[in-house]
Amino acid sequence: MPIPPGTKFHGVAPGVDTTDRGSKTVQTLRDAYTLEEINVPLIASTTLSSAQVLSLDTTAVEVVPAPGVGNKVVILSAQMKLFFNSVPFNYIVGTELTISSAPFGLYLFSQARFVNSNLQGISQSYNDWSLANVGRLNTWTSSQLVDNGPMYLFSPEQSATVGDSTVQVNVQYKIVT
Amino acid sequence: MPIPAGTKFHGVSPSVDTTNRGSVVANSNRDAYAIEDFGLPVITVVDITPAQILALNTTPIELVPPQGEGKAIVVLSASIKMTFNSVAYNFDDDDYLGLFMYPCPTLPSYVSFQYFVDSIHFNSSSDIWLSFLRWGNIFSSSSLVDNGSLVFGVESPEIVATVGDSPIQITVEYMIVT
Repeated sequence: MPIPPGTKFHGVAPGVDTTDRGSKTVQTLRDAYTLEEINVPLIASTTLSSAQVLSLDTTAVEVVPAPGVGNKVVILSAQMKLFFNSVPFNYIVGTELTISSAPFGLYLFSQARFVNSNLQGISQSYNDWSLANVGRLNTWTSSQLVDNGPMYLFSPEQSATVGDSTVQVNVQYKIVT
Repeated sequence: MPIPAGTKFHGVSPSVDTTNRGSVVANSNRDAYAIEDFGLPVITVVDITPAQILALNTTPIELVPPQGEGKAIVVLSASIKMTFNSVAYNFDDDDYLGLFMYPCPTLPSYVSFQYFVDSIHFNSSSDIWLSFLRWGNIFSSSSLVDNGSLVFGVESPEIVATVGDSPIQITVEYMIVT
């Protein structure tokens, strides 16, 4: 049900039994809402080791979990943080690290892409923070939504061969049915 | 403060006094949250004077202030409205004005826009109201800046209008990321 404007919220720890305790003196004015009903974007955060980064052309990394049967993931935004260590990754300029439900397929069905440039991106030798391109993606197809499908980060092109930094990928997304 | 995963919420009518009533038997487990804690998009509306537009090539205009250490600003949508006064701006064609985080780490090579609009629209002699376009740069992603501001500025310092007297209003929907 829609949340009436002006409704107040008190959050309680997950372990608390909230049955009939939300507003003890005015029970008829109380309703329980889930976070999904508040329509808040969900956030998934994944940290990749340098070994995972170096094998993104062969092994995709899950960055959004499967949402459950009957549900699909729609990405709203994605960011990548490079925590530079000592050896930069040597991804070539123009490499697009892609987030998709169908990694390495004939069609990539990308929902977000991190484009590596010579001034910004995963191959820098300093801490970098990039915003993925979301929405300018497949020229010939729309992005397929996969029922109960997780989203993966991968490289459709050759991976870097050296580099020792960790990378954090944060994805804000919604569940659609 | 971030909302712990699994937290439950009870909503009550606005007129209800919720002080110390959220979980009457376990007050130590109760927290109150501000709407910002929910991670919902925030909307800001900024009025820009003609003088600011004429100085845009040297002084970008802050739309959203820095949000603190470890935080960056991601634009979700943006629109721009110009109310024509009497003298049209004289921008060149195919130059871009846009929204980006400041200080921009990719300057002076290029501005790391998140959203943009073609400057030629502002040479109009009538009111305009446009949506910004997502940058979607094929050569790079957009740079985020830790504790940086979100500004409205030009693609390069050569992009300048020398005349024009119309005020502009920008509306930005954004979220804070960590």
